[in-house]
Amino acid sequence: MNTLVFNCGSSSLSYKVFHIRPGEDPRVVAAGKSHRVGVTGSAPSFLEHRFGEQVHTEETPLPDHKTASGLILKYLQSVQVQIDLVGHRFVHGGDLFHGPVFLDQGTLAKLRSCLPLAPIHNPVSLSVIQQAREWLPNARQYVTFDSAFHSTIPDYAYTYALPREIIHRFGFRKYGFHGLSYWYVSRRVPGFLNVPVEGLRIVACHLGTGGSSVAAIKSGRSLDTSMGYSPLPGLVMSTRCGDIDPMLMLYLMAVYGVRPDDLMDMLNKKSGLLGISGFSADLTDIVKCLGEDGQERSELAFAMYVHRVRKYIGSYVAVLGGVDVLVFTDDIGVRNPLVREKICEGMEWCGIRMDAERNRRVSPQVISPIGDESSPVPVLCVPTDEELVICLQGQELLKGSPDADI
Amino acid sequence: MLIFDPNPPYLLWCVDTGRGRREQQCLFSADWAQHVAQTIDDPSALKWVGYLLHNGGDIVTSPVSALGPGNLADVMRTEKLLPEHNGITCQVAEHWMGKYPALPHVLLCDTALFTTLPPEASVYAIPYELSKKGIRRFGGYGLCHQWAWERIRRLTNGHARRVVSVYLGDHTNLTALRDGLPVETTIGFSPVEGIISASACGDIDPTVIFQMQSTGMSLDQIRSILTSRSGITGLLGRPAGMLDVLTVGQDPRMRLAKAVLQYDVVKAIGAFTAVLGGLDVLVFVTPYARQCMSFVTEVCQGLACVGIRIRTGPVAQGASVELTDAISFAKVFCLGYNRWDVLEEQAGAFLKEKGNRK
Repeated sequence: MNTLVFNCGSSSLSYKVFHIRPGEDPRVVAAGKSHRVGVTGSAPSFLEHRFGEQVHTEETPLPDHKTASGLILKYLQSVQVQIDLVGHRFVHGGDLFHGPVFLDQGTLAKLRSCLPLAPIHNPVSLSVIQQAREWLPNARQYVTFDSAFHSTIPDYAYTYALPREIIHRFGFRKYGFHGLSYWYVSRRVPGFLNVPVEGLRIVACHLGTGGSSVAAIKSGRSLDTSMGYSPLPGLVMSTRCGDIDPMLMLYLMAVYGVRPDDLMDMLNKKSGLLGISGFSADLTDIVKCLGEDGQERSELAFAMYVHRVRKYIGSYVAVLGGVDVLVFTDDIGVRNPLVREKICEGMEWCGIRMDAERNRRVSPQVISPIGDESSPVPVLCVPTDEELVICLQGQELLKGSPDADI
Repeated sequence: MLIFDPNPPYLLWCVDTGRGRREQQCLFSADWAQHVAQTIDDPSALKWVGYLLHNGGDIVTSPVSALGPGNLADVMRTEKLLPEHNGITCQVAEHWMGKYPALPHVLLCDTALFTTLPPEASVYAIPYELSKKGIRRFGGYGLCHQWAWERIRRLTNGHARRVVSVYLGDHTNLTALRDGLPVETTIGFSPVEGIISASACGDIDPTVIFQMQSTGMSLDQIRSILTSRSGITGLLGRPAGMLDVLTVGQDPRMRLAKAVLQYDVVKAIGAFTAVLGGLDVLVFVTPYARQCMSFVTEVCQGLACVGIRIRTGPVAQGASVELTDAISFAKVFCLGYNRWDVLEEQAGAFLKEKGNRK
């Protein structure tokens, strides 16, 4: 059987078609990406498809995700790829979704009520879902959620200490994100280490080129994570500030007269690495400047990034009562050895010791152990593949078992 | 002596004219000065007047300093950083300096310790231009953590280098010290950041503020929610503080407030241990030394991973209690703390040294 997976980014739409045979790993038979969706600018929008040996690229206007998904579905029809199942990614399922679900009228209504929780991402995902329903009326569809993995976080960790009536009125609480990535880590790592899931304590650092977070995972369940009600708090990210004093927002509005919309724009899009360094939101650029004259702000941005990750690792080691494995994942996590080296420096207190040579030789394609031979706690780089996770969650859903091995 | 500590909407003070010390408070309203005057039976017996400044910003960088007509204006420039607290300190200081110009006036600053907080801990990841304007994490309770560090140095004969100091009270907060210098702290730009307190929220997602504002709440309403109606008070739905948490019954709301507080403290201890690269001493400093033992023990029980082994059996009472057993890698102490004692001690030491220099 074939599963088509859609993965919406804010200005991109990726897809993969997996062929699934019982007892085998899913195999990609077609894949592609729409670039610059809904972006107005000098460079044109374009679609690329890979199918068998063919690579097909097409420059075309892509005003929105609905158009992009329509063109993808049209292409798949033209090359006669059969689709039995369609999987989607929804960033924020709020309190309503604690795992993947099949799509029906009831689910659609609940998805609609989640739109305001992620005003940029959720409506885009919904438009792609509707497009797929029109093109593939006979294929079963399901939805996966970035927030769902964190629905096991206990109340004392997800509660914001605000007045009860305010919490109730707005639904304020920690939700957390990057759930697909953590779900994958929590299922792959025990198998790789050949240890039981039960009782295994993982601190996982999802360090992405856009958003980043850390999660505390025990027995395959999330106990805490650094993002919150929105993806803004936690680590220093490419353009997001991460943790700040809430009163700072009031101060900036009252003393400097900053407008609320401008402030949210500033904290989400002009802060983080970009805000500190003043020239780049990309950690790779910042790392290149380290040690050069006049790059104090890059040094500071790098030091703050590392410092914040270390704090969260320490917090979650304490929360878990110790750690059995430390995981780095996503682009920066897997591709940036210097960041990993600095994060792991002086972590012997909790049993983490990195092997410098192994750390330099990590392949971004496979799970790589980078801990020292004598390190009591294994340290792993685990590349993630969100589309594969969406595909696998669909298989679990079909089996009716949320804990099937992969 | 006479020492003032602003605690909006109240003014707290402590007076001793040689007949024993008395702790007082009144609402900081138009007639505050009369209230204070009524409690001073013999003004001629006052030796000095002290004022606690909660946030000295980049302006007041000494923990204890002499206050005179020449530098009061500088202190007043800190008002915008923490308007309610610092506003009271400035008004009170101006009044008493005018009334008793011949007495020594001493400024005690709770953020001065954190002047040396390293940039990776003190800078926010916001546009750098704002940091340049002086927006940063100032910390707080510096005089308390400094005092704790000195006690620990004596108790361990100078062996403790990596110390996490926890102030456990209505405004619980933590500081990590390496060789006596702060390397991290939970309080940020304002005292709201960090751990849940009696009536302030502690760390929350900043998006929450934006959401509240989008329904038409004013900045003042939001400020009042975050600083006066949140924290333990907010979760309970009635005014409450640390003592209520420590003497917790079976109330499920109280259970949650206590669990949130303990969890926040455990997370901060873990984070600071990582920053320090390991822990030598964890010290709890608290005005509730008698009531807090089970709370502290519960916090420490999950901390074997930072090298803590709590001693079994009953714990002795005293001004300083060690809670760990002989083979515990990191030591845990609990110190009884009285803010006025410490302020008096530090101001007294400053004046003595100043006198010696003359």
